[in-house]
Amino acid sequence: MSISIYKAPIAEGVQLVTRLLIDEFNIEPFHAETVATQEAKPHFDKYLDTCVIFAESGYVDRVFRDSYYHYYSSKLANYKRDCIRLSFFEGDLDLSRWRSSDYFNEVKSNYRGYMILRPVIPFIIGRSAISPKLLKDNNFQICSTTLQTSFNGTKLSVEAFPHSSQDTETISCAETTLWAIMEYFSNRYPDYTSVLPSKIHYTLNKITTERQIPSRGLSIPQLSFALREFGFGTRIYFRDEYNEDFDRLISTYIESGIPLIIGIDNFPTGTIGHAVICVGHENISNEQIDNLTAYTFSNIEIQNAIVAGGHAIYDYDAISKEFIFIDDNFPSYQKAELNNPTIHYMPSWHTCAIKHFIVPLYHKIYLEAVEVKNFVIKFLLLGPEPLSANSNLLIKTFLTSSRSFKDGLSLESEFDSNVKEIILGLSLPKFIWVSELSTKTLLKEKKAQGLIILDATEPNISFFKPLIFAAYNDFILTQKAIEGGIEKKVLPLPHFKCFINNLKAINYD
Amino acid sequence: MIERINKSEEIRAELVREGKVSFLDQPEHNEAMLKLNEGLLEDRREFKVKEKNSFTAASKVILTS
Repeated sequence: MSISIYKAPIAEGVQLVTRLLIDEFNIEPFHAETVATQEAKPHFDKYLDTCVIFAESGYVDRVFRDSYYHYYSSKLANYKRDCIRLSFFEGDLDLSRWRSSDYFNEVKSNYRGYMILRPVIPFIIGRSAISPKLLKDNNFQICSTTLQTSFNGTKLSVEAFPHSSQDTETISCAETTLWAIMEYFSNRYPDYTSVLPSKIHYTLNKITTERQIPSRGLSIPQLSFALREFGFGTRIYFRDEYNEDFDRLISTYIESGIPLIIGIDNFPTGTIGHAVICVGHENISNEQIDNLTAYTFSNIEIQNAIVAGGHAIYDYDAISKEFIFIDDNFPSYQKAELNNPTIHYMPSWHTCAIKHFIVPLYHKIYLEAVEVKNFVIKFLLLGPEPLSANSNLLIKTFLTSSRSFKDGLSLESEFDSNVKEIILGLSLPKFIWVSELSTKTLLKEKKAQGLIILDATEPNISFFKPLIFAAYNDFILTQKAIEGGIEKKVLPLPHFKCFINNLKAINYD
Repeated sequence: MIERINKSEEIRAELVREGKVSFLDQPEHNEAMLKLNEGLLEDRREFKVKEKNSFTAASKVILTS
């Protein structure tokens, strides 16, 4: 059996998929055309007009093979085992020169990702990795990882977030989110491994009382359990408990570069329950920063301190913005606002709201966002060295690895050299919480004027134990090395560039 | 020759010479710290209730679509 390669410009993408379904999957022409139009066209419509598609037949897809051997092969109907792989390039390729290393080096940078077509009608869109560079609208920043693949016998890589549509039988939206989350983390960090549909079912088998396939979806605790079994320290948040802080917590975790599983539903009035992954947000414009209003805290102690000090405190996470979702019912990188997450769906979905989210935290992160943000604001307002009167502060809080933070800082030329050496000389845990203290004016220049670093492995909040470092009001605070307590050094911190390594953007300077 | 390099210590020593290093161990600092401790622990009790309630609410939701 030999592999055939088909080629077509993106404008003829639907015709190409139709022909592939007929030629390679033996689908009846009317069904093929209908499915190609309904399933593939919405994806292709988002891609650059200059894109060219190359399709390879006889592709062995590990995800579909897993579904095939654990489920489809047990049916009477004859399902094919092989898939088709579509590879996307920006601009045309001369395949006759592909074997020339000079030509390959010239065109490999034009590779924009792949998409698997599986032989399950109508759910033909399998896993995909699409570079945001392929999209007409890529004004956003996301968590992404480098995914390895090949085309025409040669290895290639693409920077993307994994996506797959559900086949509704072996993977529903819930299983798909688990697969994509693990695909992302396993490609990015050696602590995790990727999972296949059968592994998800096997993992959940011990807490499931009914059969698992055909899939009937998963509950949020089941999703959380599976992630915990796969090595995470998961946390679940419910909107009704956190009220106005709920959306801001989503923003904090996204700003930390952690993809979140989002639970959307319209219960009890409706019957829709859906899982998507939030992976980023649109690039923030100066206008959005200008429109940010001062934060009114529900905590009376904090609010009284703000009023008494004449402060104006802004929360970066309260900036009104669209978020980026990996939704298995839509193409990669779907934009939506948190308060209207299903606006792009049919009207019956418009009553859905984001009610829960699950955070796949590294298992040794013990201090979580809600406590960090509370600690930082209380420390600044009510701590032993409170803010100067009438302070105007925009606080951006995120989690990052100390390795990534130190790496970004060490080569940052605008950061004060003495303060930089003090921070680089600190013994830090694997993960730290960072609060950058900025203003609206400074943030427009992507700069800050103060910094607080907390130990993400220290949940004991007594006597400022999580505090590792703070710089504001022209002094820096650090923990005394052995005897405990806080040391104050008079050392101003000039404005510095904000940390930007958690999310990746295509066109954001 | 073995050389030990610690730039943080060098910077701190310089600041000590200039009289720019102190400790937050005065009565007003301790008072602020104790008050903050109390508030943070009270907040934590509230967060724990929210955590439990979040899990309970999540148990009733099945994601199928």
